[in-house]
Amino acid sequence: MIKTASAVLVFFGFAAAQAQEIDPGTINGNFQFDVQNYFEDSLIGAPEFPSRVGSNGFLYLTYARGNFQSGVRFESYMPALQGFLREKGAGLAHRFAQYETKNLDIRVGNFYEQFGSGMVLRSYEEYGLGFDNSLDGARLRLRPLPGIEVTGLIGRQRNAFTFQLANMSEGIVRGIDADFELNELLPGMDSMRTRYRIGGSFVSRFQTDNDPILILPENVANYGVRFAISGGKFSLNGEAVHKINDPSTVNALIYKPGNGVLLQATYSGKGLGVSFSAKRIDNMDYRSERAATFNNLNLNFLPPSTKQHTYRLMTLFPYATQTNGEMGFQTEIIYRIPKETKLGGKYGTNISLNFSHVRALDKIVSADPDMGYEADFFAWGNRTFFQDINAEIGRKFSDRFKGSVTYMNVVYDKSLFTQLTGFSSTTTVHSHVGVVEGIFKLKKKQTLRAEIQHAYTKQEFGSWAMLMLEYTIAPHWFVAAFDEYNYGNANPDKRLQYFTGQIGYTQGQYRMTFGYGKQRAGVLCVGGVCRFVPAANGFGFSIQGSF
Amino acid sequence: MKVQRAFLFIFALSIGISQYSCDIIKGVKKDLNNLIAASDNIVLLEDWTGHGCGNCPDAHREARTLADFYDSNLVVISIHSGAFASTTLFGPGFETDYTTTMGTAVDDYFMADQAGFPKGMINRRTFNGKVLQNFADWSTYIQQVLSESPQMGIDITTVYDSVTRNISITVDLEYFVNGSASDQIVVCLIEDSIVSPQKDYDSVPDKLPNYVHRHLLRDAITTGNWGEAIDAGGISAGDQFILNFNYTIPLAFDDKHCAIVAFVADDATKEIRQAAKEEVFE
Repeated sequence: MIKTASAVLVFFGFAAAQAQEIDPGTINGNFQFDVQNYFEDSLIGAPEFPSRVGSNGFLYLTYARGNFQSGVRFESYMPALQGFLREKGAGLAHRFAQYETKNLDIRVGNFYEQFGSGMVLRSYEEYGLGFDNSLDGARLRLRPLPGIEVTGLIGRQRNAFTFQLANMSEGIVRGIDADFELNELLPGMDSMRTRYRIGGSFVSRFQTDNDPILILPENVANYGVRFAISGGKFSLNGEAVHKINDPSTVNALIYKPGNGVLLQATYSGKGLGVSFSAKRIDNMDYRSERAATFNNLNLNFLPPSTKQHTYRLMTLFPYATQTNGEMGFQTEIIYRIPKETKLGGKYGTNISLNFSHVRALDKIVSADPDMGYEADFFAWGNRTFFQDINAEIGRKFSDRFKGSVTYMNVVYDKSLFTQLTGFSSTTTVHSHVGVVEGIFKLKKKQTLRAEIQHAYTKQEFGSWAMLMLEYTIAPHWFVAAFDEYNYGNANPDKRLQYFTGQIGYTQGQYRMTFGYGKQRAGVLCVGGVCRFVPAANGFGFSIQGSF
Repeated sequence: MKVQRAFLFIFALSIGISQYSCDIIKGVKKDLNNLIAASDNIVLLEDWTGHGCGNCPDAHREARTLADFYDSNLVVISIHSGAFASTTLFGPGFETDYTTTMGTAVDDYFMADQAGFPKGMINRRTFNGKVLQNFADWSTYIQQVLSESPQMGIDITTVYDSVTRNISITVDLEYFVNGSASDQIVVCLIEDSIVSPQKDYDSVPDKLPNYVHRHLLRDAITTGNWGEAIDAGGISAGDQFILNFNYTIPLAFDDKHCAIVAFVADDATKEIRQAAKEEVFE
């Protein structure tokens, strides 16, 4: 703690000293603090929370002057909110110093980085998920010529749920990435309308082999090449990656190399947008410690090829990339029927169609048990992990009212994602979800938004209905309430309502919310390991802002 | 020319780095001669699991590999606990309750269920800042304990009456180092080869109806969940204790597959000093 305080004082001392100069530099920051109390509720299965109140919070400060920048983030978990691991403590979880010019960018301390699509390396943070896998070390970025950018880095990785700087990955991460903008580099291409970009990246993790039985690779490399072509209304990009033998907890200690391919194409014209993406992942879980599981110490990110829904009952069955192997594609068409037409109406009508399908690889057991399995590159497996067909029609009817209707048909292999089968013994969930949303402008600055949602399914916990109302008085106040009702649960005692109410106040860049709610239980699975997230019942307060 | 030189430099750099940062393994087994021959330690591996945990069979396989490899130097106990041991959440076939009062209490203390299954504890000791370990690390930490000098010896002898199903258990303890006043002896019953459903996400469908569950914790024989005090007055190197216990094996358990496990742990730190196992039927 003394060390932490000293570091903060040194930081601000430096800033204060600079304040006496002509250019004092600038300090920016942002913060968020969430506190929640928990009532034990045997009806919904909310367990006792020993400290009764949990809180997560952070304050991030950056100081910039000329080419120099530095920053610290102080984090506090007293103890962490339910659903995060129950740690408690506070400290400096992130600090850095950076010097950047046109041709050079050097940063020491903590940093985030992504190579290509992220399949080789992605270090990032998601405060809401309790996820932070920043690297702690040094990063050098060079731009020796216009159109060339080379990045080199070395560091250890922060464990997602820990906040102590000392609690870093055992593995050391080294990486290099090069990005070439060919139009800038090659003569005659600079005036071309179509832009071409290629790149390559290489990352290696070093972790000592202390295993008494197996010969474990101490240096595990993951590398890839990528391209991007964009011109006019079309764009096309892709990446192919390969990982050498990496026996780990997640792949059950097999020595099979991994690989991944990602292709994305888009068309964007007036009133019409079309996108298509395809992906194949085979044994591509890659972490800075071979024993790490869940969402800890991930070194790469395998982009999901499905639509990320926001309506609440459409998130009952969320999709997560299966890092041990999957094949899938997604296509989306967005069309705007022009305004002042018979179909489009006075203001025009937006239509969106989306289809995604993800299956297992066609795996057969390998003759060599150390290699685990073999999978034909082009063959689909029999098992459907996930399929989503959804359509949305949205239209503005008048200056005072606009609305939308959304439908989703989902097929969901719940054994991979939720693990709880409710009262059914089948593995696959089939669900139809419908949402009607209306936004009414009541008076100047007063808006009422209403959502009616329904999810029909015979599996899992049965059907759900939901009603949501949100009343906003711009620019400061909002009040929202929603009720989810699990009326279709096969067990009559479990046909429960989960009510949540919230009131919020916004002032400039600051926002406060206070609410009460019941949250349903579920299981969260990432990387082959699952964690039970208990139900919760209690009051919550949140404040966030930036300056 | 500048462009070509830049390409060449980056290409050469990448090749150079890749040559030094790739360990492609050809044969996966180490030379195992004399690896454990000298150890008098017997390590306890507690495998946190549940019949509804579809990722757990991978850990069960690793536990079996290690049990076969380390033979009498390793005692494995599978503990069903938490949400994945539920008798109602996983549909027909999963109605049998394999949880135990002792297992649940130990889970609550170490928060194994919250950490996510599968997880294992090696002598309930902390390695790399954690007590709960993922199975890729189990062998490393087991080997680490085996390489240490034993703190004590435990010897179990049993007399079993298969008619009354009463088993009388004698546990001999001999300390090689100073013990602690908070040392406790835990004696428990495990049952092997129980055929019952198990979730396995590598299988289609993911319910394996005739899964063979190995070395399940069934009951605590000592009083309480953390055992009984050995000598509250303190224990010195060289001290020996002979402790007797009696237990009647419930009819629901197959006595031919039962074994007695005993271990000594310092109740202040929860760390286990030594373990031992004795089959009911040798």
